[in-house]
Amino acid sequence: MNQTGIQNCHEQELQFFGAISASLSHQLNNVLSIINENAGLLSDMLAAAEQGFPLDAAKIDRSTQRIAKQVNRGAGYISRMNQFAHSVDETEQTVDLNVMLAQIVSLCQRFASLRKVALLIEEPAPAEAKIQACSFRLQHLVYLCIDLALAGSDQESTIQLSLAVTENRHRLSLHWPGSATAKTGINEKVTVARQMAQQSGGEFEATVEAGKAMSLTLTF
Amino acid sequence: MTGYRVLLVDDEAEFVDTLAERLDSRGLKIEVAYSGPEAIQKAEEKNFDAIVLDFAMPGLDGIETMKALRATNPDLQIIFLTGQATVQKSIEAMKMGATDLMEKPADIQQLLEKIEKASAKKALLVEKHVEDQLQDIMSKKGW
Repeated sequence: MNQTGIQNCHEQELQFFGAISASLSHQLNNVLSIINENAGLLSDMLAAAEQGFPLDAAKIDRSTQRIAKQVNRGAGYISRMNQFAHSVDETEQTVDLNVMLAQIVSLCQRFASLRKVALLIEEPAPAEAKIQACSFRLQHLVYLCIDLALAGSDQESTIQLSLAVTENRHRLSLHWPGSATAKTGINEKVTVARQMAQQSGGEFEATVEAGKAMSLTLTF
Repeated sequence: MTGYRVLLVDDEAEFVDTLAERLDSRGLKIEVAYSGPEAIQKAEEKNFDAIVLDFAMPGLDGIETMKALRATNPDLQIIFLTGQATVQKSIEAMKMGATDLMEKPADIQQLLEKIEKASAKKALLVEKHVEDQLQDIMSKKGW
């Protein structure tokens, strides 16, 4: 890869890191907003009680349950953020593809839900699917594929992701129904995904069945 | 601060329901919508003094929802309440005619002040329309 290609890859990686961080911080902000409103509601009830109004136990219970639920939700985001941040720690490690796929799909759920598209990992997953690779680069590559799939998906559709292992080759496929209409920037994204796959020692393939379905395949 | 009719629009149900309860206890008449299309439908059915709208919602986002709302009722006063207020998005929202913008988590007192300001602006616009209509009638009659 030439200097411009390397620079382009670094820019793409930064953009990926930024997109995931922004998405997680937005979700954490939503969690804090719900906690803030429920804390405010409890405070309102206390102020009313001080003026002689009876305390409503059911309302207090509902608000505290909502706060507890949001604390758990926030802890989940922080855990994902932490795992994601540590994925850059090593340039090569043993990556469990089942775990990596589950992680990146969960990180991309918000992008999909904003477009009213579902992301679904097909079952059954292979019993063992481990390769030596850079976890962050692999996540980036799958993110690029999901991003491509989202750009080509219609609202209310489902993107199916499947992992298969045959003769020491690991194949990750994304498949979704679609009109296969070319959308702005798709060709550029395909080129970037292909370059990134090569850089990670894999192959990238995009298939369009006109008017019926589209699929992307990553092979390692 | 009583009696203002406000529509709260956000896909985070627990956020919007709790905020609705708090504003309702302060004397406002609150309705909620959990998506852009639901907000558009409610705004067609009822008259609101202000609409408090989120940016990032599945399907139709806040900006698109505002465009649709204002297409049928240009006087609608829209306050964006969002956790995703990038400078670019804020400028876009204000250029598109948003009345105000506020970041989550929200301070309820500040939100009430913005609702009051937006409602007063709406009342002035309605008053001006009535005056314009009266003047139009009078000029047609040669008075």
